[in-house]
Amino acid sequence: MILEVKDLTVEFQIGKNFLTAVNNVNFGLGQQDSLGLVGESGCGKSTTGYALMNLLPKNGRISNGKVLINGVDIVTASDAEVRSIRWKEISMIFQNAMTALNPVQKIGDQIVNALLEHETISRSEAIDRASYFFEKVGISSSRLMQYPHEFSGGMKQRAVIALALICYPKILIADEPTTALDVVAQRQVIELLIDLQKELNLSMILISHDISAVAEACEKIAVMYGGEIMEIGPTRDVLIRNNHPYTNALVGSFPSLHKPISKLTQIPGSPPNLADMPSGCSFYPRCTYAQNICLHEKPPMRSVRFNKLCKCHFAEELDFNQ
Amino acid sequence: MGDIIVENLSKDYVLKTGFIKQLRGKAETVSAVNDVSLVINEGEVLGLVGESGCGKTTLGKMLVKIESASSGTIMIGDKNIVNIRRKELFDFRKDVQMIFQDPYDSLDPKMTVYDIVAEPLRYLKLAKNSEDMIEKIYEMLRLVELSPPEQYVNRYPHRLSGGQRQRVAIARALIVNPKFVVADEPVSMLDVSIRAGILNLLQKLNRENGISILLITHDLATARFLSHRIAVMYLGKIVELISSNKLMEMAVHPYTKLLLSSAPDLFADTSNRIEIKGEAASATAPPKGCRFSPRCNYAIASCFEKEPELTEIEKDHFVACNRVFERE
Repeated sequence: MILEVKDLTVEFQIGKNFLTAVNNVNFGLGQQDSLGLVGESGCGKSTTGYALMNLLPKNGRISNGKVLINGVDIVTASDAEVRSIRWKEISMIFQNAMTALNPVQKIGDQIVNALLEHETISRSEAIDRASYFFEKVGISSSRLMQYPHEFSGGMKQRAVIALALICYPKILIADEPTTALDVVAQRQVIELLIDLQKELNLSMILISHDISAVAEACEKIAVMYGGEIMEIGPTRDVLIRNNHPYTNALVGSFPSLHKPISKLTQIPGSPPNLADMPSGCSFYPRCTYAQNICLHEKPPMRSVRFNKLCKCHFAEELDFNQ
Repeated sequence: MGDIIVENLSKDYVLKTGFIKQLRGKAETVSAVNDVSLVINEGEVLGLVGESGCGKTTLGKMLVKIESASSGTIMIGDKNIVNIRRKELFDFRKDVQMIFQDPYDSLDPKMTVYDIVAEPLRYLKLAKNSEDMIEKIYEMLRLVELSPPEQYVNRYPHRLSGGQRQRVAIARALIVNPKFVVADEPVSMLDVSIRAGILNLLQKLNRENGISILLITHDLATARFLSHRIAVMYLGKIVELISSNKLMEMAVHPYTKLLLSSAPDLFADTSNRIEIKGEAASATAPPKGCRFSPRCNYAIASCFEKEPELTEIEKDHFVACNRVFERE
């Protein structure tokens, strides 16, 4: 395992209260594995990504758990150790790549300066490396001399991918890399990530609210709700042969081009409020299958069919098929 | 109200260029919508699909008179609304409304839900008295499933979730009892689990109240779910117009097929996708001939010269492609 996440819990301080944004999350990633983290806004998927980088905002902290990157726990590591891991072992593409680049600096300079900050190499070596990664993501290296406004949305996203890869990380976290893009550019970015993963031997975590995009890029998927992983396993077995009522409702609420046109499943209620989480199962108030036990008792994670783990009292009985 | 008949509609924007250049008539223009003709039948949902910058929102805004047209006609009944007079605009607003994309931006944060929904009634003087107004507003909030209404009327937008905000925006558009609504990406800003609720609601409003809808979206699956027919736009032009239930099997325009093949979909076969060529061209300098030709896998020499016309190739199926009859 190149990455092991054990009982990860992240809290945010809001006023005097602590909100649990990520609750007891467990997963592992082998070399060249790809895992998708999906869920709605506020489910903790991006926070999980930041926690893996040990880059939480000031009011956030990892209150429990381990994040082992090649055996080193980034949670308890010293500053020097963190510096040798972050960007070099594990790297992240942040959401809103469109605005991640400095508009008044040439893109090439931004990449070269970032690289020189992290490695002791000469400027010309850094430029060579930037050109190499630009070509890798499908942009001509002559465009390193251009400014962000001269790039289309899809190209900016690719430039940001090149920036994330510049120190040869082994793990890449991509947070909503396709969200602001058009359909065709989305497909290009997904295809690029899949190619890069194979070519550079990357382990990848793809964070997105778009389950279809994740389905195309990742072998495994984890569905998050209210800070917890509700169902995790091989992508198609989670998304098509669901065991958790939330996964089932989520997939059913998407219109598909490849299914007959029918009514969409509507999930009643609204996404959970972290400041006011229900006792028992966090999906309980919106669940059509909820029973008395769900109100009082938090369901444990249990193994179900197809090598999946599922957090539902009735996971074995609920065999959904999309 | 009858059908809405759009003929040769265009919208040009003048880019900010130097004063001297403008005087010399050399100012750059962007043709956001270029010579579009289409019909929205009474009681129909027409899906308008395309990538960002293709002109779909501009077209929608012209239909509700938020944008003025540069040329062409929009006939609603026997009135051409392109050159409608101010006084008539007042009546027009009772029939035609718009739902905007971002419910975080489109609601005034200093107004309560009640005032937001009451505003069109007050402005268009549609309530007989204050009791009538309250009754209308409560009924509308129930219709958009913000119920019981007492719980919502005194809230400000910041105390509503995204889905609830969009429901308020829909209530505001529908309170005047319009016959035609332009819905611009009504679900793209919302969480996945609440999208289905809004889409089902729009479908219900169309089926039960007979409201015609122009649904503007970049998402083909959403358009297919809600619309009777789908118009695909590329760089200001309609390139294909087809009924939704024929979309998957019968679409022929290379751009429509590229979109269908590229859309991420859990149930799609991704092994046989259409190759992507180039990037979308800019509307400031649209390619000569067929606007899609530089990215088209089927383009021949004449496609770079001759602009194709939107032609009916079978009943209710229109395509703008020079090679539509030669290709298999």
